[in-house]
Amino acid sequence: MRVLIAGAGAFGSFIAQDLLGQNHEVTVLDQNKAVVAELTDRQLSCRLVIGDACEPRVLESAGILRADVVIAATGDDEDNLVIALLAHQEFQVPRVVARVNDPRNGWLFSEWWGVDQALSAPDAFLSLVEEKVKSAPHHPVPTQEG
Amino acid sequence: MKVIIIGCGRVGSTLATGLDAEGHAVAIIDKRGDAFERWIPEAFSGLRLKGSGFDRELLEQAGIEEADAFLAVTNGDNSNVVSARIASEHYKVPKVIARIYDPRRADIYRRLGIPTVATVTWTVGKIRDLLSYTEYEEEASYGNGEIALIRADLPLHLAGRKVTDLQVPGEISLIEITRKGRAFIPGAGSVLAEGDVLRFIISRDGVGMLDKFLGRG
Repeated sequence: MRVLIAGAGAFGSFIAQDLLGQNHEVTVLDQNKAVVAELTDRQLSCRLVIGDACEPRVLESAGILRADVVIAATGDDEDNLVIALLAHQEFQVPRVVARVNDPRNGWLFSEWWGVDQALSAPDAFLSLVEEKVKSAPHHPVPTQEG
Repeated sequence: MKVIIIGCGRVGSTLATGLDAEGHAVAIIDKRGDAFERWIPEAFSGLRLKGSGFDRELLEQAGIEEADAFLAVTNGDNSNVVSARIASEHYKVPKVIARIYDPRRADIYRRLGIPTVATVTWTVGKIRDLLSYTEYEEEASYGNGEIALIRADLPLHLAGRKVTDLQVPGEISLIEITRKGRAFIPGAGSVLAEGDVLRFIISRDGVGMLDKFLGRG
């Protein structure tokens, strides 16, 4: 599959590495030259593009028209929403995944903004913790009379 | 009118204080609480709310469900677009306007259904206008710009001519002359003099004709 990842921070590059391991064709796009240079140093076998992922022309030059999946993975929720909306509405990308940075913005990451799948690390973490708390052995609860 | 403004910088605060002074119910939201102290005078009677322009709770606290207008004027293009789209599509605010810096994005956002004011495009256009028509300024326009009020300095070759030479019914109307700092409304017999500053009401089609009269183009 052809995957375009917008945002080459820790989150984006981690996903890129994982997808490359599964033999997907990966392009990573970021406007920060230093971040891209870091990826270049790590010699990942993905294509690297420098540019603003919220700009349609940049997305086009990064190959969005041929992408099967776009992952909006920047550290800004408003950027991820705009990228997702452009990918879905302007470029008809079949599958759009977007990262939620602030769980309070989670309600926006839906079809309404062109998002097929939201990735929220804080929420995932939270539900894991809740699961562990629920399944933990209980101390007996003292009764009122006790 | 109930107005919500996102972004309390120069533009947001000027809008907020102006609308508030006119008696509108204004709520202004900014991520940084200190923006209010810096830009909003104490006399402002509206709501000041600290937080994000797409925080549901905060927007509802600002009264978005009953708002008549929503103005997204932060310095972030994307956050303006996101909050503007929330206001128009989710909360159905009747009038939503977003400020956009990047002209390349403004078109896309317009296509996405968000009315935008493209600050850079507008400013550049205005400056280009001033560059091209240095002695020929548009002071007001009417309708969709079919009619304009313009100002022009009298070219030397027209000194001594009668005002009626510059009047074209339905196209060009010379309505005011400022001579040596004093303004007057010309009569049928008025004669033009060196140094006159003229104001015309002119139709779009009359511009070419006036250019010829004034010896331009």
